[in-house]
Amino acid sequence: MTIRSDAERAALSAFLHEKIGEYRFQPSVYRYGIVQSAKDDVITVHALSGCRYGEILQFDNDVYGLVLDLSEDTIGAALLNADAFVAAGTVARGTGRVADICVGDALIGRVLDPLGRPLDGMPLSTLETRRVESRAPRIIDRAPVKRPLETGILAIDSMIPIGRGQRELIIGDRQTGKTSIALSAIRNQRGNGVICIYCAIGQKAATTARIVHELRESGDMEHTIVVASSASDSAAMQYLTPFAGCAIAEHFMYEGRDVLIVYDDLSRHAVAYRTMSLLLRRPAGREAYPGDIFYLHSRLLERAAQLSPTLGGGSMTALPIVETVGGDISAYIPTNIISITDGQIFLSSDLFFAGQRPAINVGLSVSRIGSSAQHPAIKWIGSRLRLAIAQYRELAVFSQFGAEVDAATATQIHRGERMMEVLKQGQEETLSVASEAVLLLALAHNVFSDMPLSEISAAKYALLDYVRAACPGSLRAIESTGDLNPEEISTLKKAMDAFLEERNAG
Amino acid sequence: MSTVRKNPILRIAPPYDDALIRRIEKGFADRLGYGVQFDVREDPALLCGFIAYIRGTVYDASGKTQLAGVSAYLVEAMNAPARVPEQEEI
Repeated sequence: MTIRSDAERAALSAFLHEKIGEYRFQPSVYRYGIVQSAKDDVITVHALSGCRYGEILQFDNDVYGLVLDLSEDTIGAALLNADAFVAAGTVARGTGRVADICVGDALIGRVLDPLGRPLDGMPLSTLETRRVESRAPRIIDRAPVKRPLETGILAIDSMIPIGRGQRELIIGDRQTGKTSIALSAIRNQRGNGVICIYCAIGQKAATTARIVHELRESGDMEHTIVVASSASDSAAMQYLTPFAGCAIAEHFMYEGRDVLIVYDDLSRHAVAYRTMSLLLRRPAGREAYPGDIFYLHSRLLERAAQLSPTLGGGSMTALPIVETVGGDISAYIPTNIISITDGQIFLSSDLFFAGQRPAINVGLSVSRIGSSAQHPAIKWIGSRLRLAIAQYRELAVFSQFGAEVDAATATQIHRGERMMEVLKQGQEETLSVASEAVLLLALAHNVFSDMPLSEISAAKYALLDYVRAACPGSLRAIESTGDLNPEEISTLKKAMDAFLEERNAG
Repeated sequence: MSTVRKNPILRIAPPYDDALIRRIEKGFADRLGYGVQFDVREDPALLCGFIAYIRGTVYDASGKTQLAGVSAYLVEAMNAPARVPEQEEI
């Protein structure tokens, strides 16, 4: 505020005098405890009564902690300021406030830490807050998942469809394109009203900065919120990150809006929780994780839902990411999260290094509830694609050894190779529902059968351009209804034949 | 019957004297229903007033905390939306 005149100065002075006159001076009375020990970021406080689980503790010098352990004489708390120093003997007080985060439209396009502090250097003012931990919607509050959430990735939308309110795990080894798939899904929500939240848990700050930069460059921060904790943040901050993102998402969901939330990744989240639990001297279980590691993730992922129309009909779709080691999906954390979610997209290193991008292993990927939310146009053709690819993958293994195959098998392998080629997509390239339907129809119509593999990628885009120009009405109809009627199928097939004729003539 | 609890701490800003400490102790004894004998620690950072730590409860009557309270109150008042005068009834 800039004061420009004596009148303004006098008005401000009068205002301050009035307000100071109104202020009631009274001593502040609160319970306190004494810090007994400090191990890394975990503090033990002695004799602090009346504290609640999840309450924020305040230490001297504006240092804050989160209560995570309540026992008879002591309280275990995790420090939220990684660079803070808390000495033994320091006074700790309960703030009476359970961890919460600011919520609302003002957050869209912003980058925050799990405490709601902006990380993008711009001021943030929001009035509403929401508890970081809250109960998942009850059974009666939910409605069936019936609306599709398009990722713009042909392989996913056709074979592993995701519905709004679903929890679909993205799982795979490092550097197999897990984050890329999540970012493509975020990009594809541009202009369709879905608010996206990207939770970067314990990631390298440079990686998060790159992702934010990419989203800004492509204009996708317009509908995205990033909640980030870096690898150098305290374990408590990393633990809080997905819960904070979830609280922001819940706010929009209960307003009747659709939200997509990405947890990148829950393996690191589990490691952060294990660190805190071991320092709190909780009994260690399998792989030294605490006994409640399953509950940690189930209570987080259960908050994703499709709400019933009486609650506004909003939805929260969750895409948790889990990193495996050596493709082992039977490890502790992966199996836990596989059992919590409604399906998984498994990314295979072998496919990735063979040049198949996205490297989705169709055999190990599944969507348990998404098919009821799939667009009829894609469902109709996509259902056969999954089986054909699974058969091709099986046959391809035999053909690798140079085995002689009969003509029928050779044809199946020939078709499978072309299918895999059509399913390849660039990192930032998303397809509309109509484009996906056209490509699937082209596969079913054997448009690519006689083409050399090296030409399919270019031919795919040429076909889409051709169909867009030749039958724009059909594409508009697919976009609006999500369905394909027999007339449109016939029109599209004729356009595809004409495309092939032109291509062969040229 | 009142009992004397050990180790209550009084952080107090200078200047102070024994008479003031006795008065504070008596005030707490009347309020709490048992006698207290403070372990007194001088703390100029409080600016004025005192902070007493008794049986797990802090009684903060320091100038430093009161100023922080006034500051927060003024910031809140400055950020509050301006009141729109109510329309006169016709």
